[in-house]
Amino acid sequence: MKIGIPRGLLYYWYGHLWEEFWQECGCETVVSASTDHQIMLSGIKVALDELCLPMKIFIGHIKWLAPVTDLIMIPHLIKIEKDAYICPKFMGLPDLVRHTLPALRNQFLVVKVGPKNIDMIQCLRSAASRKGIKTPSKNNLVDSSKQTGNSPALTICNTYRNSLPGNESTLTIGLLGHPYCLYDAGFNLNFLQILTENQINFLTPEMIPPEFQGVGSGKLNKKMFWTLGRSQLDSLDWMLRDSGVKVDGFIHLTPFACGLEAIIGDMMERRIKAAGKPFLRLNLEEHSGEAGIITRLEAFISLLQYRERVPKKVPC
Amino acid sequence: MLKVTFAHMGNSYIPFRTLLSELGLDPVVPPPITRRTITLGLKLAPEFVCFPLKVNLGNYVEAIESGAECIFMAGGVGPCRFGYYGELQREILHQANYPVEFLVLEAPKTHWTELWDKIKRYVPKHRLVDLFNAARLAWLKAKALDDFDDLLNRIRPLEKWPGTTTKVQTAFYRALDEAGMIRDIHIVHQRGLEELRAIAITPDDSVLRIILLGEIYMVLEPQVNFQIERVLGEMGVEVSRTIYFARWVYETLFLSLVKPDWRKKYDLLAKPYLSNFVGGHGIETVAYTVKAAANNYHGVIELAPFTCMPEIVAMQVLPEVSRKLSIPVLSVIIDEHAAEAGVRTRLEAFIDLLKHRHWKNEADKRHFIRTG
Repeated sequence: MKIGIPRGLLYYWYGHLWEEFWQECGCETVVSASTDHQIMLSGIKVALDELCLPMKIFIGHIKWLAPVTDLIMIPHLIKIEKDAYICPKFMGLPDLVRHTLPALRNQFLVVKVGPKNIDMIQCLRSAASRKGIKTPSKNNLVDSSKQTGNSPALTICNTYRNSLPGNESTLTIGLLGHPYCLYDAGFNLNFLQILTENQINFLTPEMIPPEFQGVGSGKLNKKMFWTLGRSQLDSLDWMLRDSGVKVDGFIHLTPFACGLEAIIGDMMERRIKAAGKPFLRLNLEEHSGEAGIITRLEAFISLLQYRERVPKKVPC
Repeated sequence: MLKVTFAHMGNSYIPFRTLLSELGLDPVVPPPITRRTITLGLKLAPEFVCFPLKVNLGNYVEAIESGAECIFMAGGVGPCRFGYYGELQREILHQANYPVEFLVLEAPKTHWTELWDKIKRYVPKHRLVDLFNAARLAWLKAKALDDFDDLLNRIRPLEKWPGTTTKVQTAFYRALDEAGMIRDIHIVHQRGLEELRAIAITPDDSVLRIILLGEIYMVLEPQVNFQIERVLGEMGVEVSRTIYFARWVYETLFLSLVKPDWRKKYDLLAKPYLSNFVGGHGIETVAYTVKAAANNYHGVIELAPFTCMPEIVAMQVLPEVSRKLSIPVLSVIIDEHAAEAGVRTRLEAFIDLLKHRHWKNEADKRHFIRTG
């Protein structure tokens, strides 16, 4: 049986786990191609205008997978940690795709994670048994403890960072944003590629060592109830204080009209400004053009270089 | 006396004022929402945050200008952004140099007395009994408002002289706001209903009935939804609101304590279309649309602020409900850029469509009866 995994949303965190699981079950897995214009367009065409671009891209990936696979996995991630949701749109994802793509209803393989059971492997198991796919005995399966060692996100990070010419890069930029904004080259118009071409080192939220998880978000007055908010505030705190590298500036990549980022981004911006670091926010949507991104990035880099040269503190 | 303020939400300022002053605090009701309120809020708030937060901020700033020192508001635990309003607004106001205190009333984690301990800091001389008495007065006022508005929405489309009901409404709100004792509230309540019933009407059997639903703030606050209830009423449409303040308080504060599965009726109605909890009023929006179709309403109007996450999920599902159950749905998204003329035009077009549809259905029925 061929199972399709859309290369969208939290694939960048859990893709390797999903692939391994279905292969252990004796299924063939197909991961959809990297986001390109065609995929994006096909999603935009059917989705509601108000949806954010990553959701539209996800729908595009489903459409790409439909003709080449038997089942398409819909990761229905309600909760992946205690006391925190991801986003209302993630919570309603099966309903969203069911109503946008009614013709593919029978092809969907919904893997529901949460709200009670948040163990990814157990949830994958029950989803498999619901579709009559045999799961191998427990010992053979990947451990669900978060082995992010080879998650798609880190793989992408490493490829770009390895192509950086060692010592020459002087500037380091802290990248903030949801994984599907930072690593989806189709969404962010090759942003990481542009950074490496300009020989700029970067840190992303996924590089945070496990011991720093929960530090930044723990400093809040009220516990944050969004996973993606927690992870970003954790990594911001790590980048500002403990990363061992001096971070020269921060760039926040967000989808246009993202509900969570409106709040989290504002909180992060305040913390970055308090630390006296330059900050650039890029809102991306289906009408974004590469030239616009490059111009703003170049201006931002010049600012960072200028601050580097001029010893006095330049206000930002 | 500590000067305490809160954000506007429809007519909820009337019960809030009573609640706070009964507790020996000095309530500062923010001035009514105007363009200035919204502009003040816009300056401070992040761009893509939902519209209610921006208006709330404007309310707070205007209340601080008139002397407020402390802000009372409710909290939550998500996934809707409302749960984090308090934190974000505190950060924003403090950064903008408004030295104001925040009391965010969260659902108690361990025991319900936790909540009282929090309030107790501000009202040291009062006992729990006083809180109950204050809450009782506020509750009676909220209930009276709901009853009145419900009847008003049924009478307004039939009124003989346009504007009479609105006049009665304004007078009733003022009288209720001034009523101080339980007996006064009862008298004002009864007199208000009688005055409404005494309004001269032109009976009409074929009046259009529509349901107004969506995000609570947008539905309840006439200053941001361009007084949609009044506008529709004056167009001769009977509006049924799905969200009433007192009932909402009753459901979220009381029912969720004594009967945790009170949401089940909504879940069941929405299930064929939206089977997952999405926060906010997402499920209710879908459930009430299904209910509207089942109860032969003529149409549904959904109100949502721009970037509202739960309503967007519902909005994606509503076209299917509309198609399957044959009920027209109009989704209106409102933010600071929405203009009255734009909303009005869309409402008029929608009502025209409903009228034509209704007329055609009736004609078909008559034709069917005549020809067998």
